[in-house]
Amino acid sequence: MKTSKANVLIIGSGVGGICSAARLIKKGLKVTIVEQLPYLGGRCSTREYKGHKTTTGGIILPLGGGSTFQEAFDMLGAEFNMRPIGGKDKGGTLYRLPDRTYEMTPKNGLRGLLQFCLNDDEAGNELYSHFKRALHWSEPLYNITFSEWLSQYSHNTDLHEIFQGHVGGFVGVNIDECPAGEFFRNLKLSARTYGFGTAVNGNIDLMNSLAAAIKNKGGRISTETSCKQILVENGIVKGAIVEKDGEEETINADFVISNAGPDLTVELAGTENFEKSYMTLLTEHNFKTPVVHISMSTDEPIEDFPGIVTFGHTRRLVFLETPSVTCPELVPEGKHITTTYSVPKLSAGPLKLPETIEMVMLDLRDFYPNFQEAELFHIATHHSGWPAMRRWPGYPMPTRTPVVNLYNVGDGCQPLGYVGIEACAITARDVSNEIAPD
Amino acid sequence: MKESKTDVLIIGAGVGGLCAAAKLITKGIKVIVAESLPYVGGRFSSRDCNGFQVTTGAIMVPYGETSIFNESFDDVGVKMRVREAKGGFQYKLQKGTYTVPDKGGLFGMINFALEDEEKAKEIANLFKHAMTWMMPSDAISFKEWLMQYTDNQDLHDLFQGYIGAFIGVNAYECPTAELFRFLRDGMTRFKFGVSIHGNADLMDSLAEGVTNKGVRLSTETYCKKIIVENYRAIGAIIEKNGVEETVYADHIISNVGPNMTVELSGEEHFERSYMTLLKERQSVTPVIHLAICAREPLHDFPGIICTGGTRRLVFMESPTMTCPELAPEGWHLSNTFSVPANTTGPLRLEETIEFVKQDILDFFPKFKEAEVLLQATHHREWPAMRRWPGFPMPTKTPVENLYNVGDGCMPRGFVGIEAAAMSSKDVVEDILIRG
Repeated sequence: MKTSKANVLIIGSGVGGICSAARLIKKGLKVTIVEQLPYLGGRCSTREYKGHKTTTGGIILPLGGGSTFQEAFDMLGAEFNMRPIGGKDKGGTLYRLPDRTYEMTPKNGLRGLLQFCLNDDEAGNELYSHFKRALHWSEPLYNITFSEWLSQYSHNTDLHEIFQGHVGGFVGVNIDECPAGEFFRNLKLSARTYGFGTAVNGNIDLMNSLAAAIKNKGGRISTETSCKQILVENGIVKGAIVEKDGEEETINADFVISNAGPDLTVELAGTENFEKSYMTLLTEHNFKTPVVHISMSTDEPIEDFPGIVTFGHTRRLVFLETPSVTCPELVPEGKHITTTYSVPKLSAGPLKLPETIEMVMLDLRDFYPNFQEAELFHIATHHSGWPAMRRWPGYPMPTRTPVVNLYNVGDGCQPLGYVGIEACAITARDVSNEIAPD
Repeated sequence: MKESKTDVLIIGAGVGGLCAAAKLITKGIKVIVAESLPYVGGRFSSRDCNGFQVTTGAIMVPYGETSIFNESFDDVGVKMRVREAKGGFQYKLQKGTYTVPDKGGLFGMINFALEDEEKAKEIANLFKHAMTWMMPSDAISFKEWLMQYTDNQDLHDLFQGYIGAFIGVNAYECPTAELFRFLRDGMTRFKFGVSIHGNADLMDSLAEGVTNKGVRLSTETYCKKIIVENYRAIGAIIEKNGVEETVYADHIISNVGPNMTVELSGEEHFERSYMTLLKERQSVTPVIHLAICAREPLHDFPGIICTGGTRRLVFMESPTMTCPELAPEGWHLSNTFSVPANTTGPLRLEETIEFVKQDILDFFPKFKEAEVLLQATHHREWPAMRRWPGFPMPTKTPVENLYNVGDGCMPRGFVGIEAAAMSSKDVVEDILIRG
């Protein structure tokens, strides 16, 4: 069998894996990435349909000085071709109720949103004082849901509906499934330190740019290469056996970083190497957050707001975005692409796909009377092995595993208060700093 | 009604309350402390029983340069009258006794139980792995964790004694991470001593120190009500000798336990997630304490003895071995602790005491000639600790500017006096940041 050596072997080239590689290469380590798919980026990549580029999962990408994701690119001087959504003084977020809309800007912010929902400035102010206390004095805990928290102060349905959309869109679960503490952490941490943008030429372009910089520094990246087994000896990781085109190779490594998700990591390394308290944690809150993502092509944009639109009072639709408004590069001339997300009624329950698609279409027709038909070209269900997130918000696995020098990165280990791409990039930063401290 | 104003009002003069007072006053912050009992220190005090100084709860006093408790004495310029307990630790099983050396104690005690060097090394390595690489999660108990690797009865007995003595619950009740945090952090950062003239003397001297610096400390003063306006604590109504007084304060620190804090303020000001947490793990850790006096010392070890394989006894210590001042001349004082078979269940006091006495006789036959000076049950409102290890309440409450300190808010991995002192330090730091 072929053998090779690396300081660090990374299994999977998602955001967690590729950002880890960038950071470790920068620190002078010898890094190998194996990716079983033919393309890089995992759920932060691109699919093409008749000249339309759409995402394989991640949509609103973090950017700016405070973004750990962008930092990984900057470290290697890799091109980060992104365009911010919304303008300078725009928050880039629009909230829609059937009878009115609210655009969030840094100026009117959260207080304005609450006043908008309640349609009453005074009541909005009072509710805002509870939010403020939760954000700045004493954070609510994880033992109740955000829906329960909110019900202590108001039963207004517009309010609950808007936050159902917000939590579904930004945290990935329903309002009655999101731990109250996680909602407030997310509000406090996410989007405070960084902005949001759209990848001008699609997510894959970003991933290829970072991969090129990694290769340029001597990193080895091998696609269509699957990991057969993670090698463990006496509780310490030794490397892995990988396979490409039917040929096996043993890669010996001092550290192994898995970006394949904590469940698969255990499977590849053998459950016997994981002690009971870890396995209990792994199986106890083992819900992936599922979403249904529909990309559609139209001649006119369904929505011309150049940012994220969150809905209240819908059947399933929580959130849509029209990336072609910000980046016409993503579509053929004269076309637009709209991406909708919806959360199943019960995140831990069955997906009911045809029903969900039908309901999203009904929701769109309700909110956009001119919208009749669109060419649905990409319907993706994110669940099971390809979820929106590998763990429920608020229940991450640690990045370390019981196997010495074997780490997980990615959205199975999202730090509390963060989700998605930025969360993955943070796990990469933390693990890299642990393997090679500055 | 009398009225007064202060920067910080502290309710309760236990370790948490007095340590907070010491730290605040040295920063020039005006402090009032109200204590309902006639003495300070709470469960860290002592009573005179026929010339013996017997503790009201706590036994081993953390001290030394890195102890946060010691830091409060330093803050107000008071010397701690403690003497180092020289012997360290000893473990007793039916089959014999193991005295912990300066180094290699963990391996030594495991090997003592297992009598198999190879297996002991393997288990000791797992402990090391847990403390240096990957902390087990709280999802299982320490008993379950250990069962993965061995079912050796002696080793399980030994840790049952250890956890009962130091963490206050049974091995099958202790979240496994909590034991490893305690081993890694809680046991290593300070020395243990015995207060030379009793715990009351120590706390009296701390009280004197803070009073000299300008703290208004008032005993036999009850808090009737914490005043909350618009989810913000603004003061409290206290009462002394039938006279009520309204104290307005920018911050309130409660050392009476999280439950009582809610009761005094009114449950309607506390949002649901906090109340859920408060009620969900609402177990205090109970222990039963026997103070024993004897003409002949029960044993000759001047440190802490943990006992395993007993009916109930987990802990024996004889403070007069280090500080003869605590007993009348020619007498010796010993303290034993025991943990009920189920710390959340009924206490079964008579049964437990019967069992403990048999245990003491088994291990310390000279108990035959000794006398039980006092038996105290620490439970409910006067528990060994106000919350289970691993399930503390946060120091902040949903009511703005209202904090809890003490062993209801022990930082993870720490217990008892040092943990209570640490909770105060955190609160004072928060107050200073917030201004």
